[in-house]
Amino acid sequence: MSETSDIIAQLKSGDEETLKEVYLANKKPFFLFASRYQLSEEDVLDTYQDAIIALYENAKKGKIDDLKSGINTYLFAIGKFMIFKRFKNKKNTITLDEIDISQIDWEEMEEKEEAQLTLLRSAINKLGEQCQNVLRLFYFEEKKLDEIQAILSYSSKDVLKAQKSRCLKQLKDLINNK
Amino acid sequence: MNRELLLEKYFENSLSAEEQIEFKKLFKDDEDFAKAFAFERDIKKAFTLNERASLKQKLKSFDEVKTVKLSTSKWYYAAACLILIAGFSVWLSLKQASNEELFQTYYQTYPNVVAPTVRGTQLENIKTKAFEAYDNGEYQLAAKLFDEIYTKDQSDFALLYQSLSLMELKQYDTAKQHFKKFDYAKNNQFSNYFKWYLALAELQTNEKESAITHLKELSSVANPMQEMAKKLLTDLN
Repeated sequence: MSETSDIIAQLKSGDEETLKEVYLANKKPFFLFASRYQLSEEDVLDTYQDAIIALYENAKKGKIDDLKSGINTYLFAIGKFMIFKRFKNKKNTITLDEIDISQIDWEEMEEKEEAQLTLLRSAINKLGEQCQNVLRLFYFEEKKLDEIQAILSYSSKDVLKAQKSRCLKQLKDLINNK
Repeated sequence: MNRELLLEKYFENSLSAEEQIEFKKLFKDDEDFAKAFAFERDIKKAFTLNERASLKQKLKSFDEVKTVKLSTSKWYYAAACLILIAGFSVWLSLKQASNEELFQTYYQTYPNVVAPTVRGTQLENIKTKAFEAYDNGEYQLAAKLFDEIYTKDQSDFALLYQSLSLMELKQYDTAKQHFKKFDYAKNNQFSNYFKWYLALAELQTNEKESAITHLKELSSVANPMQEMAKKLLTDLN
């Protein structure tokens, strides 16, 4: 299904228009789909946005390059998964349809954050742009150093590694000086 | 293996089985290593949370665009429209709804979800042109281009959008024939939309029975059009 892979490729490249199109086009169907569960409109919207974020994250990480189903099917499956998590349903009778469970990779981040995490989150924003790029690609987009070297045009992997170490040290200094 | 490399490989997801054992052992026995690992794991979490938060903000802004666009003077239009719509629905409910009216109530232009038009970033190929025409409301041209694509490679999206363009041109009989060309045994991302719009085209051409059959199929299984199909069925009866 080349249409799906086109969309995923565009999401992967960070194309905002595509993100917007996908978000707006699937919103109404998603609400219709979620209407069978007893959730407030606010919760449905929240879940829908999380599902879109999961889609985007997994596209970026290259985890759904070979998604067999359509984008909407993926969103519904992941939405269902999230709704059940929300309900903490003990019966747990979700069928994930055509979706390969390994493609629904969504690690819930704890709501209550430790102080360290809060500090880190604001320290990241104080880093220089280059550091932010290197670390984001490595930790968030899960790119390998070789890939990052190509993306950011580093002359060698060692230069990139040295840069990454410097960035980590900067982060450490930033939170220790707080 | 040196510790830095072990950590690097851990986050690259490329530890070999042997390295994993080494990793676990170090994690247990070496406090500094465990600390260094915890620090990087927190960085990963922090990045993820930051990215998610900013993305969520972005998604919210997509929703807001529509309402923000309504400047004060437009609120009057909006209010007037609401009153009109309210009046119209009262009038509708007082009167036995005809097929035509139901069609008007339920028919909505299906969005281009296949190839969002992104200026300057895509190759000028026939698919892009077809969707551009569709997005711009040039349905005659869109129908022609989608027909060319479909003739060439029989792709479902081309057939769907060709039929949808015909619907927009109010050529319901031809649209119907095209919707019927779809292989409904396929059950892919488009099947429900084929069925939904086929039912609407049938409604518009007085084939109520057949429309009902298709709507019943749609309302019996979970799919994006299920609720709409149910509602329309109730209105039809």
